Amino acid sequence: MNFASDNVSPFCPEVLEALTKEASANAPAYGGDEISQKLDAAFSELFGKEVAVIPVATGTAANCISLSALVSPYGGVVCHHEAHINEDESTGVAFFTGGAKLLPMDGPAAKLDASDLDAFIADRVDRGVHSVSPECVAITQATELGAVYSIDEVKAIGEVCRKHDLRLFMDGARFANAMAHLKCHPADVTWKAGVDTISFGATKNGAMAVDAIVLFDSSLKSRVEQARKRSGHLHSKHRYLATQLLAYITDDVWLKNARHANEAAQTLAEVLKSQGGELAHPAEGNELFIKMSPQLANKLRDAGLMFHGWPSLGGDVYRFVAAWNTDIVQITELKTTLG
Amino acid sequence: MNFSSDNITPICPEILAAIAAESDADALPYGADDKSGQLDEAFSTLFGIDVCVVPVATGTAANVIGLSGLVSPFGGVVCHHHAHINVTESTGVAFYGGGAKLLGMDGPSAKIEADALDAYLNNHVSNGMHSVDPECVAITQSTEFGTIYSVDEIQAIGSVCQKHDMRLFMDGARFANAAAALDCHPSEITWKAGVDALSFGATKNGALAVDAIILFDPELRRKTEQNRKRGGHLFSKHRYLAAQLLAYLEDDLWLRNARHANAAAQALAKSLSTMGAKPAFVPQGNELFIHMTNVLAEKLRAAGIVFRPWPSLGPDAYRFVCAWNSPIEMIRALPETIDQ
Repeated sequence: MNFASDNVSPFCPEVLEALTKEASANAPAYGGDEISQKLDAAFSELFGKEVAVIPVATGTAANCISLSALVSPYGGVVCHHEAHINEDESTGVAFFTGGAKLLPMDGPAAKLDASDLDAFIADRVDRGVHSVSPECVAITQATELGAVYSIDEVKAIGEVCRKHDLRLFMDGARFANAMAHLKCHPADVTWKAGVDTISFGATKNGAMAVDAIVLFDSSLKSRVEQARKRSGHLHSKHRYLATQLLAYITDDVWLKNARHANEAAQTLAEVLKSQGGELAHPAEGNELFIKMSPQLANKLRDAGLMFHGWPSLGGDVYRFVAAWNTDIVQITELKTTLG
Repeated sequence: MNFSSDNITPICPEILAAIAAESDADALPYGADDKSGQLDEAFSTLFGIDVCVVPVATGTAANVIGLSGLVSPFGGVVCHHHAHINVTESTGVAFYGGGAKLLGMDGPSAKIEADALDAYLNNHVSNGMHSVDPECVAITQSTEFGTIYSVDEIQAIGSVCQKHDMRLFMDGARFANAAAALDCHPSEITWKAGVDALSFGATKNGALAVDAIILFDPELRRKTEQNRKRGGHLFSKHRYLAAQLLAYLEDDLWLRNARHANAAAQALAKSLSTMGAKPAFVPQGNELFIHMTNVLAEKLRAAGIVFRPWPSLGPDAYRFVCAWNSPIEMIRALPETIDQ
């Protein structure tokens, strides 16, 4: 079983069916087609607020293009050390923003804590043109270490941002997994808590390749669209991005897929604990970080499990990621296999 | 019938089948899967030389990332005024080139002529760091006006580039249409003629969304791959880009689709000429630029034909683009259908 990442999964049947339906007729290009035209309304309904939706094919593009409208070339983006934008997106943020700098800070389970954030910003000395002043805060929901911000936690961060006049961005590559855990309205952890823009992930959770930039502030639209075009992320056959997204949110496919992934992660956690593994911190989404002995790691590898070491949490910590297609029965049977 | 562009077309059946075949099993991300592992070899066979293949989802990305490996932030890219990179890709070249500048020149039917290019480069006055010195030449095959460089024409451009120590890039968004029309080996109009990097288009010709950056100089690989990642164009589910490209090459699907599109354009040229239109250039690929009266344009529109005016060629000029799925029989019957 492959727990290396959720991006090893194929697309889900609903998304394939949607793509297949777009295989016979012609349609206007660059978002002029009927399916693309439905996106804003569909996501506005989902979030309970008028939003603008700008789909791209990768999560890195969604994050970096979003941020390019929230920070100036001279500004800073406060994020967690473990943030995907800081660790796994090359120099994408600097590239798309024209030079903006990531200002990383610490916090448990890859979460920013509102009081720490307040102190971090208050302690920075502004030296005018000589220094990099924070202009934006970026948080990840669910975090890179599989934790989920509660509504109150996001709200508290939103208040700190308001206090310091900072924009708030949410990397939602695994937003569905967070929502499946919180069981709240998507509004509660986004615009109602002060989030300006979210990258709404679909690729890891059943799509082929699409993540949507969702703008809660419509004044950002023109700039984001221009940045998308300039960077080669505007698809001519835009309907194929749109149709993936619509299939993904229709009949709660996104939540069903995420619930399955989260449940698979919980089941796997139980099995690993029964073998002597220990959770590095509570697992709330579809990612598990497990402390275990080299013996157990080898035993699991011998049983055909694939997973990554996670040295930033220690030499004995490993990451396991479950996905929409993870076979839960097979995980349960692992217990017997491993003895 | 819609002739507004070839990007209005859906995915063709072979490519849909290749994508659908990737719906069961897990596969390693970021190009480590089996399909992605086959790309370099498949394209090396096609081009008859060892190449590196870096797939992306859009033609703009293929061009601007392709160019970013060939020009410094202080350098210039000589291209035709009508080049897609100059007219239709926003400030993408400057973005990925870190500031590199497009130096537009003229030429008949969107083609750069080797002699004119040589003169242009000879006449360029370098003021050292004060000026933008050309470092690269970009040509489009087929051109934005539906014409096609012959083998000799590209060789001559390649020689000029060599003489002036310039890199040569080819925008091949419609490379298939050119290769189908010329009926030559793909190597003849690329690396053998001096092309360093090519954007090998598939999106307009039957794919869902994939164009491949083909590097004939393996030294460009690292820079190109880093720019792809930095630009957010590295797919995690990379197999879906690879599956499209492999299906596109299989059994010459790319050429079969292009031959169909070219034949449709020839049929359309004939039908429209019969009705009084005059081609602005001899159509060679799948694009047709014609002059016609308002009366004829209105008549066509009234019959449900969709096409675009092309003001850069005059107020009476229009563009028609055919594709892999254009209905050739209906196109042939147009004069009768419309006169009825």
